[in-house]
Amino acid sequence: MSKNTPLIAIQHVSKQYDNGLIKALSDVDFEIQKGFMYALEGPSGCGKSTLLNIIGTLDTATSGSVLYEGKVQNQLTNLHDFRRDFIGFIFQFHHLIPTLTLRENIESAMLFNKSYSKVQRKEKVNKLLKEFALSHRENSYVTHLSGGERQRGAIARAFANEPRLILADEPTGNVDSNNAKIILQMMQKYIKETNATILIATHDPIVSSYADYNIIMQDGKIISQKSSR
Amino acid sequence: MTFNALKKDERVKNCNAIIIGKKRLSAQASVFILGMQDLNTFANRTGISVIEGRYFKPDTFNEVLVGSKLAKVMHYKVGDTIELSPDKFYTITGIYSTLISMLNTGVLVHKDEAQHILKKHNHVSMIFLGLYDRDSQEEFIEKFNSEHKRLQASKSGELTQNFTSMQNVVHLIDAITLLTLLVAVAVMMNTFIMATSERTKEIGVLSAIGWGRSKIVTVFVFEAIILSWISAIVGYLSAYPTIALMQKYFISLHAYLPQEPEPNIIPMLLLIATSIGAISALFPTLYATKISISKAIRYE
Repeated sequence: MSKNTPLIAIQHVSKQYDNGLIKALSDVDFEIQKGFMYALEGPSGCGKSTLLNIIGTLDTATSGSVLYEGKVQNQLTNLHDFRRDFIGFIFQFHHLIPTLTLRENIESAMLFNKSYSKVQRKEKVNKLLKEFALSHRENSYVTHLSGGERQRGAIARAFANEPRLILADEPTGNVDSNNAKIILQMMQKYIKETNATILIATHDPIVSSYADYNIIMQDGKIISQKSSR
Repeated sequence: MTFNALKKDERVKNCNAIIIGKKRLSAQASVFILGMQDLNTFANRTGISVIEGRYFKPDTFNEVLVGSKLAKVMHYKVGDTIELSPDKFYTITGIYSTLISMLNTGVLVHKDEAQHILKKHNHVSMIFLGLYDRDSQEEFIEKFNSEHKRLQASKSGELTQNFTSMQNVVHLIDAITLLTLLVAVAVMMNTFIMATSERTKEIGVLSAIGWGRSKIVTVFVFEAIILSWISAIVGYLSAYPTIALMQKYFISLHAYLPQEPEPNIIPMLLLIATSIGAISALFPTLYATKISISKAIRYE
């Protein structure tokens, strides 16, 4: 892998549903570099979530390919381990597991990561809880958390394995502006500390203002890319 | 109380008590325990004849006779020993046969031993009465039945008919038990399948955060098995008050009910619970891990 190899290269990706009746993505082609925050913008239904799902290996493209540090998806030996170690997901609705406590939810992402011993896992969760101001809620179940706490917990879970890519689908969609700012500042801090990349699907102008790059989508296509650095 | 009162009744010449109950020998096999005070009286009334071996001695408490059907199914021979209560073995002195087919699946033993085996101390199921004046039996029966609403007196000639009714009740109870078990299995499976299906989104999220298929299936199946075990144990424990209530309010069923749930069914109970839990969780989990993760996460 050369020094200039992008973290992710999306090459002519198209996605169709119902035998081509619905075209969610058409010939999407762009690169994502390490250490930046990207905002994927556009109206609802323009294909942002579909693109995130394909990049995150949660879905497959009808045509085209996604390269991860120069490797195509079928070169990856174990997709589950790849997702765990390389990608962190943040969903619009926190998707924390209701039968687990906040601590257990964060730990669930690291449970099968052999890089962490049990003690290290505990320390890491403590650190994340502290960073996200959730230490006092560690043993609370999801139903007892506020909207902002839930979303911060979901982000802590995404950061747990220190992945190089964070994919966030409308992460501030269900939180107030205060919590939105906290979340975005935490994301910026994460990039600074780990040199990771964050790709956020959004139509929130606050998120756009925090991003290093803005990719604008419409009708399944990328219509413009601009840098705000 | 009734037995002692009858013994003191001036019209009664002799009084022989019998206790009948079902005893589980293993998870699969159960037998009728027939305990009697006087074997000859019972043998004469029920047409029992020893076809192999000999009667047990009246003063011995560790000898039994086994019914021909039971001996055939369980391969019992004269001289074998049989464990009827924990750590207590009885020697088979003979094999008997009678025209009352239900009794051929039984074990004949002294009344006191039967009460011990069935854990029904101071309890009898039937009392054979001999009257001084045989002509007064109709009058005696009528008076007895009017005075004892929860008991029933009848002529010894009707004994075979009583045993046939008893046999029908046993078959009916077995059928109800089987039906209840099937309904319970269906309800449990349906609950588990629904509960696991509703967790499709959770399975999608776990896949997204890097849990492999085998890990998800293992966790969900293991969880279902633990829940099934808890249900099985709760079910088993709730049998104690249920049996006590049934014994209190359905006195006519007393002979067919165990004194308490049999502990030796626990392994079978856990095995059934494990199978139900594992099967019901396995298929919905496999399905949820097979569909696209993005679809699973959106699942409602």
